[in-house]
Amino acid sequence: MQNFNLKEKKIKPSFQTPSQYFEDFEKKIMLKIESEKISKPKLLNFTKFQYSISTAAAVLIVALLLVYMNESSTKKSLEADLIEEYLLSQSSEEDSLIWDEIASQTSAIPMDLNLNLNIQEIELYMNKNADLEYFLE
Amino acid sequence: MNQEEAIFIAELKNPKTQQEAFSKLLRLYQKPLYFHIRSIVLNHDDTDDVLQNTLIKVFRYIHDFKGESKLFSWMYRIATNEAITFLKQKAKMSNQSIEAYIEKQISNLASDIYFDGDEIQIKLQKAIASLPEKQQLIFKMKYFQDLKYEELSEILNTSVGALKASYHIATKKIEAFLNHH
Repeated sequence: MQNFNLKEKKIKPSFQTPSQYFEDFEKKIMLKIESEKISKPKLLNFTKFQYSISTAAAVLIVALLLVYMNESSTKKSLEADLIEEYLLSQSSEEDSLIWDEIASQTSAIPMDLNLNLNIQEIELYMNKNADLEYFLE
Repeated sequence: MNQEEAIFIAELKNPKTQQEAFSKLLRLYQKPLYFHIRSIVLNHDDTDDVLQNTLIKVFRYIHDFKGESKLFSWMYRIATNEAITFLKQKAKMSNQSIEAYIEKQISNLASDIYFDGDEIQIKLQKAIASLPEKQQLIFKMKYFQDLKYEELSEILNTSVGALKASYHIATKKIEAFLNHH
């Protein structure tokens, strides 16, 4: 068995190249670089590209939201107008008289009416007039 | 980065001086880069492909090079990544593990017209292939190319202490392999 010591005995790999390889290689690579210069694709800066895309997407989303909100609010007001118009068209002359009567009675009640009622008076009134059975059901 | 290298990098980035500067870069670095890649992929034709890819990338990305490391270290890093990616792709294409693919490449060395090694050199390649990937790289760059630990540290992004320990372990494992096979 041999006793190898790599520090004492240097083993060099005997890699060889074809003759004139390095001289030809320089020419070959310079030609490749020339063609590289001509056909070098212009790459987009990815970060910049990503930023532009994100901004465009955000603007588009906001624009779509605004359009949607505007449309739905117009729709709501239209619907309210239509309902009012419908009710007016459907109400008869008799209905109008009833509504006028209610309105006149309502306006006849003084708004600043101060009712000084106490619990005992309310109870007394309830005992006399209310149908307690109805409330107790 | 020293002033001379800063000027050279500026020339590589300037379209007016770029071509001449790149020719100079090739004259300075094509050989060491070739042998670095060859020590990883082993075969001449594959090395030629990887070296071309490496230098095209150096040309393409020189504008992004910030000078945080030496130009030489930056190019070695590209070459190392390219070589390892190449091996992984080849292994995948031939439906083999990377270890099996490298083993096959080593067994092909004996019939390779561009390999003039004897039995002990092939045995050394087998011993290196038995190491973990990073230890292989450290050993090859230190033993075959005599790179300094500081340079290795920049290329492999590993501390000098860890590199020294790794190299020592790799050497011991290889000696044991050579002694027992």
